Amino acid sequence: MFKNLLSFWKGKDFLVQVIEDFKIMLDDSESMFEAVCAQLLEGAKEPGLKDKIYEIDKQVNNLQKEIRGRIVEHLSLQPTVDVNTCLILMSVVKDAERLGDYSKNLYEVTELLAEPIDCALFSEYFDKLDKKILALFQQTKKAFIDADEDQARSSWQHEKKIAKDCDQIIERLAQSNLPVNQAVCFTLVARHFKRIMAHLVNIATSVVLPLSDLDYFDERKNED
Amino acid sequence: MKKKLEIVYKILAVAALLYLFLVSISLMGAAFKGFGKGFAENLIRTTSNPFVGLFIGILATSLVQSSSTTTSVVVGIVGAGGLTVGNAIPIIMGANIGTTVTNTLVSLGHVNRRDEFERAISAATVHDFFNLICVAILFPIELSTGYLEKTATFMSGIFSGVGGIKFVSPIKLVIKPAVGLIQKAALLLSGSELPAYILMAVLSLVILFFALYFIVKVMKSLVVNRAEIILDNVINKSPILGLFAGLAFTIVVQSSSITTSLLIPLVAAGILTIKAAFPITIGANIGTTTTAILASFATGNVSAITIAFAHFMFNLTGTVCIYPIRFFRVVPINLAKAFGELAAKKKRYAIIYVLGVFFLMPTLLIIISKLF
Repeated sequence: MFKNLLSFWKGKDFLVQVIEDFKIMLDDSESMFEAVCAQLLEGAKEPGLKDKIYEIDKQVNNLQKEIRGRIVEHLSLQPTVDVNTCLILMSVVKDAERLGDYSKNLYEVTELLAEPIDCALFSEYFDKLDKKILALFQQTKKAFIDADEDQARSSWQHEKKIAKDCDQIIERLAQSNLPVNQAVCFTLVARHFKRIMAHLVNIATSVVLPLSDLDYFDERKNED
Repeated sequence: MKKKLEIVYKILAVAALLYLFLVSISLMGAAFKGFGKGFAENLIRTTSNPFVGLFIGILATSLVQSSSTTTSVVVGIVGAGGLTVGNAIPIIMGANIGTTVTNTLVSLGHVNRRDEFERAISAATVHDFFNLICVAILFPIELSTGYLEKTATFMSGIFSGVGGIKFVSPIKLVIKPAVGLIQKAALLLSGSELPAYILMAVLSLVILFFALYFIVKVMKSLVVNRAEIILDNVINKSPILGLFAGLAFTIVVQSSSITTSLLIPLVAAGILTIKAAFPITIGANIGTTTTAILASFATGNVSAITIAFAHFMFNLTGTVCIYPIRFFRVVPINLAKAFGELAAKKKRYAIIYVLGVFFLMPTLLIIISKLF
C-alpha cells in the first residue's frame, strides 16, 4: 500500500510528460510510414504488417487522447500557466494523429493493388520520395522537441519541393496509360505523401508561427 | 536558483500567514471574552435551537464560501466561552453543507454546453448530497445521543491531559505577545473597553479572511505541480488513493472548496468520472477539518479543541457510514446524476437549487424560528 502511495506521488512534470508522449507519437508514425513504404515501394514482404500497423495506429490514437486529457488536467489546475503551449499541443497532436492515419491509409493502398507493384515503374514516379519524407520526420522531431527555429523554417523549403514533386506525379499519372488500378493507387500514394508532409510541417512550424497562424505556414511564408 | 529562492519566500510567507491566522483566532477569543457574560448568554440562547444553529452554519458558510472560516470563527467563539460545544456542533454541520456551494457555482460556468453542464453539476452536487445525507443521518443521532460531543470530548481529553491537568498550548504561548500587543493598541486607540473589543473582533475577522485567503493562494502555488502529477496518477484508478489525494491536497491548501472546485472542469470534460471524483471529494471533506483543529490549538481551550474534533469526527463518521457500503455509496452519486440530468434539461432548477438550499431556505428558517 505504501509503495502504491509512493508511486502515486512520483511522476513527471506536465510538459516533460506530454512532450515525451508526443515524441512517441511521432516515432510510432514514422515507423509505420517506414514499414509501409518498404512494402509498397520496395516490394519487401513483412508478415503480420497489417496487424502491426493497426496496432501502432491504435497506440497513436490513445496517446492523442492521453495528451489531450493531460492538457485539460493541467489547465484545470493552472489555467494561466503554459496556455499557449497547451493550445499548440492541442493542435499539433491532431497532426501527429493524422500522420498515423495516413500511414495506415498507405498500407490500405497496398491491399488495393491488383498485382504486386512494378518497383522500377514505381521508382520512376516516386524517386526515393519516401526517404525524403523520412528525413522530414527527423527534421520535424528536431524542430519541435528541441524548439529549433532554423530546422522549423527549413522544413518549409523541404516540404515545398517534395509537394511539387507529388503534384507532378499526379499530372504525369493523369496523362499516362497506366491500368486504372495502378493509376488510382499511385495517385492515392502521391496524395497521402503530400498530406503526410503537410502535417509534418504543421508540427515543425508550430515552433515559429503565431498561435493564430498554426497550420497556415504557406500563407505566412508568402506574406514574409 | 531563482525558483528555489521563490519557494523559500513562499514557505516563509505561509509561516507568517499561519501565524496571522492563529493570532486572529486568539484575538477573536479575547474580543468575545471582553464582550462579557451577557453577550455570551445571548449568543448561546440564539443558537440553543439546534436547527437554527444548523441554518446559521449553512448561511454563514455559503456567504463567505469557506467552511474553514466559519469553523475557525466557531472555534474561536467556543474557546472564548461564547458558545457551548453542544450549540456549536449543528453550526459546524451546517458549515459542511454551506461549503459545497462553491463548486456548485463553479459548475454553472459550464451552463452553455448541455452534456458538459450535466456532468459538471452532477460532480458538484455529489458533494452537496453526501453532506446533506450525512447531516440527515447524524444530526438526529447527535441530538438524541450526543455521540459527537462525547467522542470529541474524549479526544480533546487526550490532548488536554487526564485528571484536571491544565492544557498549555505551545502555539498559544507563541501568539500571546502579538495578541497582547494588539489588545493594548486597541485600548489605546479606542479609549474605553467595549469599543476596543469591537475593534478587536472586526480586526480579527479581517486578519482571518486575509490569512486564510493567502494561505490557500500561496500553498496552492507551492504544491500545484505535484498535485497535478498526483491527480494524473489517481484519476480513474484506486478510489482509496483518490480519497487520500483529496485529503492530503486539502490539508495542504486548507480549503476543500479549492479541491472540489478543481475537479469540476475535469468531470465536465469527461476526463474524470463522477464515481472517481466522489472519493476525492469526501477526502477533501475530512481534510478541511484540520483548519479548525489548528485554530483550536491557538485558543488553548479544551472546549475549542473539542468542537474542532467534533467537526473531524462528523466528517469521518459520515465517510465511514456511507462510503464503504456500495448500497449507501451510490445514493449521493445517483441523486447527483439525476439532479444533473434535470438541471441540464431545465437550467432554472440549478439556480433555484443554489438560491434555495444555500441562501433562501436557511434565511427563512432562521427568521421563522425567531418569530415563533
